[in-house]
Amino acid sequence: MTALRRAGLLCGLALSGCVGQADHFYTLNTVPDGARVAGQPTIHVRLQVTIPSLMDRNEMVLSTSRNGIVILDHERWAAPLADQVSQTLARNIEGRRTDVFVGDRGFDRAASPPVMLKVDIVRMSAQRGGQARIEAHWRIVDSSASVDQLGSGSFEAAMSGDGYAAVAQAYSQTLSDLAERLAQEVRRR
Amino acid sequence: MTEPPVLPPGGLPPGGLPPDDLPRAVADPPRRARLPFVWILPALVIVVAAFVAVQQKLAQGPSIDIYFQGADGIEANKTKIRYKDVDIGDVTDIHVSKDRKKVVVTARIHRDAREYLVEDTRFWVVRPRFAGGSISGLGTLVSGAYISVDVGRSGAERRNFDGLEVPPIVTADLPGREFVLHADDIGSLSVGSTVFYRHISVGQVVAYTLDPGGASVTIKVFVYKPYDGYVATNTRFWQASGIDMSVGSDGVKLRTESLASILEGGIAFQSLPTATAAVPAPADTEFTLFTDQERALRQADAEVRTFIMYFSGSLRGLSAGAPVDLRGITIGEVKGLSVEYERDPGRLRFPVEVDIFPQRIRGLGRRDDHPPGIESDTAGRALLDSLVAHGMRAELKTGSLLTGQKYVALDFHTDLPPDHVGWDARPPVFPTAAGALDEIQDSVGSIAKKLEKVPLDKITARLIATMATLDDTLKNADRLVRQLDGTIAPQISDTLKEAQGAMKNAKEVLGQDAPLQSDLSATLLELSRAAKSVNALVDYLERHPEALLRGKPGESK
Repeated sequence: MTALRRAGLLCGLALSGCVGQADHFYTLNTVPDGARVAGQPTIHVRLQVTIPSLMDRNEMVLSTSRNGIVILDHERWAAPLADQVSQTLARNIEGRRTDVFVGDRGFDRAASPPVMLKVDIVRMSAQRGGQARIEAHWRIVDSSASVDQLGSGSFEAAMSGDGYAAVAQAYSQTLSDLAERLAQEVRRR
Repeated sequence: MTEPPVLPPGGLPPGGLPPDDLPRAVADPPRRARLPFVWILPALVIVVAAFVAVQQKLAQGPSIDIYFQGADGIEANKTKIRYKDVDIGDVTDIHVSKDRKKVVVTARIHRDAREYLVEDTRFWVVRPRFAGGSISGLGTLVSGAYISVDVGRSGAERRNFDGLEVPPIVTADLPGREFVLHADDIGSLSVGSTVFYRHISVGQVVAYTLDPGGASVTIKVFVYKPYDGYVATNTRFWQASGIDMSVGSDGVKLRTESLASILEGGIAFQSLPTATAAVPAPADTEFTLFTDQERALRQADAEVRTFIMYFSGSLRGLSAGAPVDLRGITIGEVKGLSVEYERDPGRLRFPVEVDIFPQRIRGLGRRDDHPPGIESDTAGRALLDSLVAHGMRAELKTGSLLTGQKYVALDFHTDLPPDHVGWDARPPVFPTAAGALDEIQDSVGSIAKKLEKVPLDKITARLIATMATLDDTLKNADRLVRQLDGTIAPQISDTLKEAQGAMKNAKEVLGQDAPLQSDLSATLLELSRAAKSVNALVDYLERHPEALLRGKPGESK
């Protein structure tokens, strides 16, 4: 074998090594899906969401056993999961309460202090082909109504299929259930 | 007659002559002298001359000696003796007396003025004088001094006189009358002091003497005619000397008769107004010289009742003569103040003796139609008892805050316990009440006692130290304020403006709606995401280091 052949073989091997599996990206969506009902929001809810650091990564993480997980390097969230959870939760609440506007501190108004809504998702897990489950603690502080209440809840949703998109769908459903609960907790003015 | 022995010729023999040998004297009878006629003329001349000499001697008048302290202005054979400015004699000789104490001026008086030389005739030298605010004898500046005569009225002749050193105030021929005044002291009066009547100069003080015993003085005043007619039996004389300044409970009074009286004193007189016509006083009538006009013209009250008042407060400011006042009307005066020791309780009391003039209170005094006696006294007592029962009390009041003089005020106090006049005592004791002044004094005394306990000296010392510190502090503060005002205030103002601008800018920069804030927030978010991505990459490379060469391996299905 000549040196040229050897070099071509090595390049071929190297190039063959560089050829990998394609990545797939997933997003969360509001449930029910649809545009916001027109209305005049009067309550500004400032939402702050945290998720477990285990889940706060771009790769989708699935539970394989009681203590095992798998990080799917090629099944990825299209945006950071914490941002997606926060935005999905906000849109879900707005979809259920037309008088509520969920936004960050840039929308604070002096005449109407915002309702502070802090949601701490302490557990978030899903099994492929199984169900998605989240457990959340929340705190609602409404200074204008002198309300400072705590709450917690666990929400589950079964997956409609075996694919990874079903995982994102199941998570979306659990977040919808959580938003339903929170929309009820926020006091009307 | 025995004849003398005749000596023999040749003298006496030795051993003498025998008696028989003596020559016998023979008498030679005188022959009758006969005056020749030639001597008649000289004899006649001598007789005539003697007659003329006697005549001249008789025409010269008597020679007198006048004794003076000095002979200033008097010259022999030049100075005249004058009476009413008429020459009645000449100074003939001046010599010093044997005892050298006086100067003897010998003068020859004209014969027709012989009768002037009587016992009480007075001589004095007229020369320029300034006395009593007036100048006299100016004419003698030109004509020279002369000796003036005041002819006496005595019948006894006299040839030796003691000359007056100063001209007499009153001469014998001056019309008017002399009166005698008695006073406690002479005051500022002197011989020559003016006597005033309604501010008109009507007389002069001619003499004063200290009475035997030295307790008083007697002053003789001469009032010229026709003013002497105003001196009546009810006339009152008073001292008008200098400026009469009286400080009483009613304030300060200044009174004077004239400018001259300010300088040399004076006496004024005035008659009391009476219903009956005043009787002119004869010469040498004696009067009392009062110290001031008010006392002199004070009406003598016919009836005087004396009372004793015991006041609880201090009597300072109360003096004899202070009025006793009944709601503004003076009905008496304070007669005297004293101190008495009361043995029984062993305390000091200060009786004030006052004279009340009942006639000044209608109904209380004796009336003319009511004969004096027990009945009137009884009625007066009853009335006074009634007044006291209705609350009349005596109290001390301050008449003038300026002088602090007090007076006794009678007034009604209905809130006081009942009291009565102590008629048993002599004089009777009139009840008193503590005046408002006493109460104030008690209060002030109480306050003063409390103040005494306050350590004023320490407080003062500390206060002074504090004041000094405060002064320094204020100076520093003033300096600081000046500095602030002049230097720092503009800088502070500028700084504040700049700070305001900076705050505005900061607000714009750091505000929630500020672009920087939102950009920064977004940047931090991106940074956080980048960190997470790096973290994920590192984590992935830890798990798949070959991915650097081969890329991500495929998922195990």
